[in-house]
Amino acid sequence: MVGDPGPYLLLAAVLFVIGAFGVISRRGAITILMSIELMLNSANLALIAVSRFLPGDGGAGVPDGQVIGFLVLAIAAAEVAVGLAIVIAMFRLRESVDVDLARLLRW
Amino acid sequence: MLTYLWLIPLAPLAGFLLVGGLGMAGRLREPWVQRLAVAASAASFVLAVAAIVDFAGGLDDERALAAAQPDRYEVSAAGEPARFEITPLRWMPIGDVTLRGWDGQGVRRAAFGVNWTFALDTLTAVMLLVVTGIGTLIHIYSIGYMAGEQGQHRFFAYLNLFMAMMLTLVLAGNLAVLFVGWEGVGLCSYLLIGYYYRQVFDKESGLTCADAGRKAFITNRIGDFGFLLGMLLLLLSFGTWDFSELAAAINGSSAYWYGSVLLTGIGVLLFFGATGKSAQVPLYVWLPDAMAGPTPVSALIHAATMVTAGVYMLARMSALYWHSPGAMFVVAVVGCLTAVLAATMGMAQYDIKKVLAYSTVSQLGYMMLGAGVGAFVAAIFHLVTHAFFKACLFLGSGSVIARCGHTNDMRLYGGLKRWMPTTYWTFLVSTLAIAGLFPLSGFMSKDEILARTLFSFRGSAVLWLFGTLAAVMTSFYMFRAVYMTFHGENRSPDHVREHLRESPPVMTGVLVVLAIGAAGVGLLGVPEGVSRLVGLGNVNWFEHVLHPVVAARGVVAGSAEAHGGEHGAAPAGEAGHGEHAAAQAGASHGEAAPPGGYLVEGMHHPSVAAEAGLFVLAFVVFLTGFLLARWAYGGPEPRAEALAPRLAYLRRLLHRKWFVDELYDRLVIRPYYAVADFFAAVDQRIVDGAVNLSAATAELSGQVLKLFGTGIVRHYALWFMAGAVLIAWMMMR
Repeated sequence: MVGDPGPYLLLAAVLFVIGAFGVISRRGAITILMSIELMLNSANLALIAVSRFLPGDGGAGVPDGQVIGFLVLAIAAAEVAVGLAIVIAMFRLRESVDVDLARLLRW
Repeated sequence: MLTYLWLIPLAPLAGFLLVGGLGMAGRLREPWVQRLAVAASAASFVLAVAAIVDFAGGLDDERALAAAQPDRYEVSAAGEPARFEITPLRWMPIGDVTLRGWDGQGVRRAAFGVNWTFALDTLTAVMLLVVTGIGTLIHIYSIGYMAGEQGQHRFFAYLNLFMAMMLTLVLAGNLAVLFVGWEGVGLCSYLLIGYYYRQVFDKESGLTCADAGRKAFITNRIGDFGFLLGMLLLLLSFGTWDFSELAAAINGSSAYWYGSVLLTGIGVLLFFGATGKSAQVPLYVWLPDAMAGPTPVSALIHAATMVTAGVYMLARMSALYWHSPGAMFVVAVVGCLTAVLAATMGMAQYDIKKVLAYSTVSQLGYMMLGAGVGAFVAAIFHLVTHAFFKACLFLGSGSVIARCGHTNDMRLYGGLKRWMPTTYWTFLVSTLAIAGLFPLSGFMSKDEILARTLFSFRGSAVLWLFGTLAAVMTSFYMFRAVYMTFHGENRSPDHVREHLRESPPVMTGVLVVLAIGAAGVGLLGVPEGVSRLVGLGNVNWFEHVLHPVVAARGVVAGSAEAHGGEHGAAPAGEAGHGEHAAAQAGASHGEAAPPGGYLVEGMHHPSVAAEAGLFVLAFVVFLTGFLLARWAYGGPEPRAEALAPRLAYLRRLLHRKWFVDELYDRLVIRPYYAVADFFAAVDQRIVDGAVNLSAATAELSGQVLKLFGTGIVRHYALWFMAGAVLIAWMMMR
């Protein structure tokens, strides 16, 4: 390991917990989507930090983590597109984006 | 015609399909139902007569045929009783079976297959004529009896099916085909007993006609279980079910088989089947209740033909029974017991059909007694004469029942002689015949059986004594029925009396034909003793024709000649037992079967005085029963009524049939139900309980787990994260 990724990982963890808390505690669908983005990006941050500090390529680190970060970005974009579509459909149906109201699958 | 033997059962089968099929489709109106059914039955009668005429003309033509197609035709060898066999169809080519070596030849494998084989010999010929002849007459009678009934196609179709099955039974060349007929007639019996399935048959016990049918069927199944076991034992011992092969196998090593425990076991098991079919103790209980069926059915199935299947089977397996004195003794004792017991029950019945039913059971007992003492010919002869007079009696009672407002109760008859002369006279002739008045048919056959019981090496004086006692009772209960039905004052309700008249000619005509048969058919088999008394020598034509088939033919080692019975070497045929037994005159019963066990047929030769004594005794027996009945029931005020209070216990005992039904109820049916209830409880509580428990467990866990499915997305997210954390913690631990 070249250098210490500790502070980055700490930041990533803090961001992740904030995102998770947002997902669990908020009722607005948009906010939940944003929280999910936060969690995804915290994971990206951790990946990139670790890849930068791993030994290899003359101190430039291993690029694998950064590549995975791109993949995560792409998937996050797709996920948000689908998620927003669902949110719009739900809004049209109920004139609200409160996820607690969408409980039709309950027994 | 012999090569078309298989058409005989096929004709009524076609009738069954036509009448049943078209009748069910509603395409056949009443007269055509009757015409078709009668035509089918008559066709098989004509075919049977044609075949028998051919058969009597000799088998020379068929010998060439059999040589050319040995797979299909078989003709018995010279010296054997004439027998023609045809195999129109293969059935079950089963392949190898393992013989257990019980015949002393070691364990080995034998090829075994079952085919649809029909065979004709004189025994079958006699049965064919009885079944098709009397069957056709009863079909004709049914036209009059069933007139106006709804759903006649059902009745006539079943009747035709019965004929087909009974003919299969008597034509069968092996036990498997016989068993098909055996079960088939049982099925038809069940269907026809329950013909009026909605009606209550017995008001005392609340038995419906459908119940009576079930009782008959289940009782028969119990017997058939024994029969099947006997068949399987035969298969394991001999590797064949073919009658001629079985007889050859047993007769071929007589000395080995004579008195063998295995053969005795098989004989008793087969006889157990016969006790069901032929209504013997202990399985006779179904026959009286079988009277729930229409009267022509009672006449045809439960008197003339089906119930005699057991006797026929014994005669067919005579080779086996000759080699097993033990089994024959069982047959004789059971037959004798049945004859006496049923006669006592018959004396106290008020239902005319039940009187006749118990009489049938009793007469079947005589036949069994005859078979059991080795008088197979006499047994078959009694079967034939009984078919005539009992069919006539049943049809006569049917004529009465139909005119008396469909009641069977003799207390509601009386004085019918005035209105129904033809029915009366035919009924009387048949009564005289069954009661044993010389020279009517019943005397000839019953006297022959009783004489053989007394004099045959396998008979005994005790059996004879009981048989004679039963004969007295026979005479009594039959004349009781005649007096209660046809004599005295009429006791019918007024609305019935106003319409009393003779039955239509289609019914009375049949009665007259049967009555003539009941009177005359006995002349075919005048007992040797009687004919000698009149100085005619032996003119027993029936014996002459039938004896070769049922003779003891075992080849016996050692002192065969000295004992001179009907051993294989002896050319059977005109063989009177007298000549053979003469060598043994004076031999006691103990010496009849010499040490080492040899096959002996024949009897002690009675003196002329003894013969004359028996002849007179038979008349005395007849007269005793007649006078007793006349004394008790003949007068204007029957003394029986006056006597009733004093004999109340006896009367109740006999009327309730020695409480045998109640005894069976306690001993068999209720324990059976108790066992069934126990296993039902095990099934419902324990087996079903286990299944239900697992289902309940699954459901309960589902009920708990569903509490987590709130439908709120954030809860799911929480659980998901908690799970993720848990897994992460476990991985890092």
